Amino acid sequence: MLNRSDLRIANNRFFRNNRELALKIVKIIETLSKNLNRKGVDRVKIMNFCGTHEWTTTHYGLRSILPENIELVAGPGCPVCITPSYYIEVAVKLSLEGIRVYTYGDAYKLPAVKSVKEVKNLAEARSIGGEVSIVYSLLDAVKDAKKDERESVFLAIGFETTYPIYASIILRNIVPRNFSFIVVGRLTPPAARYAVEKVGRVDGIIAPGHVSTVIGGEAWKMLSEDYGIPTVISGFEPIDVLISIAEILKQIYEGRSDVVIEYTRAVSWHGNVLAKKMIEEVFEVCDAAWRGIGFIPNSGYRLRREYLKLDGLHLYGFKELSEREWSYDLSIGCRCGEIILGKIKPVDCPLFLNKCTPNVPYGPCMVSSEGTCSIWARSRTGWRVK
Amino acid sequence: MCWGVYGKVVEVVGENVKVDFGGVVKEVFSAVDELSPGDFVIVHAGIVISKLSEEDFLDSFKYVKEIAEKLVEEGEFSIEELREIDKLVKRLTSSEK
Repeated sequence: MLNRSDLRIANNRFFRNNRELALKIVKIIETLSKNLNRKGVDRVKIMNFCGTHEWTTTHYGLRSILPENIELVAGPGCPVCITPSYYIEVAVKLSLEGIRVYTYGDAYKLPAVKSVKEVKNLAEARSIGGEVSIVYSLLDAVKDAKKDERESVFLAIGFETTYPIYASIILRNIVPRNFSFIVVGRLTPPAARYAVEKVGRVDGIIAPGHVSTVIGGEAWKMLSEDYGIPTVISGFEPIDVLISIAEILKQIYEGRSDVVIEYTRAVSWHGNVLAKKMIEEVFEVCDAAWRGIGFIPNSGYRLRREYLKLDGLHLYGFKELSEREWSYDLSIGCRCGEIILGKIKPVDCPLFLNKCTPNVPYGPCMVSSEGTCSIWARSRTGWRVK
Repeated sequence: MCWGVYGKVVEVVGENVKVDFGGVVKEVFSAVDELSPGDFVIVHAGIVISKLSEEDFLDSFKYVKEIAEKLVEEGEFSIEELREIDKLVKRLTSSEK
């Protein structure tokens, strides 16, 4: 019944280029929305926790085809956006001292709050002679670092999806001697908990699909059990997101709050047990800072004691960021903290597409392709509602 | 950063796998046991994090049907609409034979 020869084609056919089904699901959503209205539910706020979901929602203009009373907001779903300024300042400093800093491309222009030798990001650091290399993956960085003896650090930003590769390379013992990590790993469920506690009413959650391939559906149980919020782990195509919205509305209508996996082709209830085990062997969970927000309990990874020699901060004499020393790390006027928590939309920030643009980002949410402001800015019209 | 990319395993090389991304073949790590050539996987930042399930591939549609059926029961949706959805899903799946 399915084209085994290429599931990628099947994916596009069923979940992406499927206008007819999309219109049917929208009709279902409209009916559910009217039913809720009759029950006295006049607004439904649904939050996503992944930049890719926000991209799908905006790129395909989903807001414009949904009933007006359904509000789709982006939550903390971009690891680059929430990386504290401190780690960028450290990376810039190291690069200017001749230590090669490897970074993913989407953190290259991530601005720090404090200047180091008058530069505020790795791109500027490179322009004045700093050692910065952009890589697609950690494997490329490791291969490159092996070519010479130059000391190198990897700016290890990421959510649970990005950490299996770090753990795997460390466990295989193939990290070169001249190589270490600035560990800025963050966990999404604690941030989701924080967001629903701080933002006020959230009626439904679209949980991140690829993060959930690793942590599994079970990691989101607390949203339904502790907060009574219907939660759907969704795939990233427009049909996936529409199905997820319909399922959330149905649960609200029936007075239920379950965790449902819509992204059945990739996510299981227990997740990737092997990947979780690898991460746990190398990293431990700790309280960690989120940019513009502050410390969130049990929301970060740090290297276990036996791997401390791979910790770039420790190696080069920088302190780990502590709750006592963390200070608000957004530039004057930047409202990314509120955008990350879904309290406001990018268009509510006076800097959006004025002082802050994808070419010259002022705030962290305008940098990565997964940042809400960047997605809205590049789409121009896709965020518009009906 | 969280872009997972779909690819097809073309070769297993020890602990690693070679994955075809629409013509570009790259050797990547794997955090999934027992992969074989022909498997479709999600690769994230250089490591396989999930194998696409052929069996569960179309399960997402069961939610659409369930919701539509419920709405028909409640008289909110016409039986014709439900049949159309049913037909649409069936047509999509049967055309893949």
